[in-house]
Amino acid sequence: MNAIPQPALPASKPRPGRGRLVLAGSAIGLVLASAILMAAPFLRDACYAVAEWGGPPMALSDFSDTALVKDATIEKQIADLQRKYSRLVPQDAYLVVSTSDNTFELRKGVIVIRKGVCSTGSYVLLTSKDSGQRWMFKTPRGMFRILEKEEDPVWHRPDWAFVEEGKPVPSPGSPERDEYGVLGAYAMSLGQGYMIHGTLYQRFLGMPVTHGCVRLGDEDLEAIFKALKIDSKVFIY
Amino acid sequence: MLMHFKSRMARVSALVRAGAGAGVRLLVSGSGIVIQQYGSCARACMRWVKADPKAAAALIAPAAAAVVCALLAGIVLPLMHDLRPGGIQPALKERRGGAFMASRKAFLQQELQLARDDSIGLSIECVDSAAVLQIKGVHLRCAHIANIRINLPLRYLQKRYRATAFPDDIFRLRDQWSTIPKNPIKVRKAPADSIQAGSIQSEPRQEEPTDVYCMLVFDRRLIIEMRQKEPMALRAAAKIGWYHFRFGLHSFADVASSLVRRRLPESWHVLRIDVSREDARAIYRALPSKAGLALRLE
Repeated sequence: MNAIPQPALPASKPRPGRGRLVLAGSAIGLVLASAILMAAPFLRDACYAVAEWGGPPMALSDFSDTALVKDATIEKQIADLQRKYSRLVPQDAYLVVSTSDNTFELRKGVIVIRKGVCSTGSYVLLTSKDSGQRWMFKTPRGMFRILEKEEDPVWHRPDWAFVEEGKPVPSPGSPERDEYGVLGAYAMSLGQGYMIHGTLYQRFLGMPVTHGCVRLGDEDLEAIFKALKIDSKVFIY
Repeated sequence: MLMHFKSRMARVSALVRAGAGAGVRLLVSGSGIVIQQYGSCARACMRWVKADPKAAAALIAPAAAAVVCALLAGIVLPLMHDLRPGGIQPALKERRGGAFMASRKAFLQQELQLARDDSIGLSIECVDSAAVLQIKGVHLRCAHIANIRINLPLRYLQKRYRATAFPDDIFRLRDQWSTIPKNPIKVRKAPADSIQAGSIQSEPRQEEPTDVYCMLVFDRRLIIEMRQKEPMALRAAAKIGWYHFRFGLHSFADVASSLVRRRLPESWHVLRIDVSREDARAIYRALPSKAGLALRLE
């Protein structure tokens, strides 16, 4: 029996480019996976909508009788906490200054006694050409206390006041530094050189123009000077 | 005159009809071409898969595996983590029961904790629609919230526990982005002499009114988006879009790092509040870098 000659099969060679295909597939997969991970928070958000359709997330049975009985206890605890919290508000007069609106409120407890406009820090960053020194004219935020009260105050001009005017800076303690009448009739010190005082430039009240101090109009200044005592609180935000 | 006007109107309407017809035809033919292209592409792919299934598998299998892994790790498993009983936050039995009162108590405890801070903090009470800047228990500024929106994970959480669903601890600010600068600094060089100082205009300039939007990122995956209730300009809207994109990138990095640490990524709880422009500006600027937050949802 003669066997029918079969055509010789070509030797199976490793297909070129298989590795490349795997690499390409992995690269595509990585790109798609990154896209999915990036959108994951939003996709998860959308999935919550589906979860909400599944029924109310909490069954009525979850409000157990024992829990409801405890309400009276919670009410008492709330009253205690409320008392504790309301005790934090100063009962004496205190001042609240807004650097954002350039306004103030003089309060006693939760009652507003007086409110009006003031001027706070201009946020000017002054740089000296010679010494390279920098001064930021901003009003600090937070809680302060009145450390000192003064009538007819004298302003002892700091270095920046001379640098700003292009004048040579005198030595510390020099009488050149003293200026009379520019701080108004009263001044209250908050520490670190910051003060609450009056101004000659009444038309700039309500604008951020100061070097960090709080400037007030004459009548407001007098009322606040009389209302606040040494150690009274000043809140600046 | 009337006839002339009528004939002009007829001509205009004919032109409009012709234009609309041409537009529709263009749209139909365009979509036809797209469908045809994609159809032929799909057919070519199918032919290729039939002709060389092993090569196709070598390309498709790793891609599909990566996609499935991403779906599992980024969406399915985190959802299972979030939605399992007590998955996000352990709820107190007491809090679940006396819902309203318990949330009030938790909020007061948070406010007392906030009052212990030396810096300015924020408390948001959704029940009264109030955002309050406070320090040492003194309310500095109370802003009325015109609109409150919460994202789905937070809404789910709220519905699930019927209360704050958060522990009594305050939240701490971690990061903040805004369309306005924190401090509107103006740099000024000192004049060389008094003549130059005299020539510098000393009239103060009021800050230009800019649209206010800020994203406050707190710990425990809470985000407060605060924006002005007044309509915004296009430029600010584009900036907000950019922040959302940045948040997307941040969130991607977050998911990736969670997976690297073999932890399931969790959802972000987002609360969006609309307040007046002045309030938004004052609140954003008053908050220090690690400000505390007391929150009451229900």
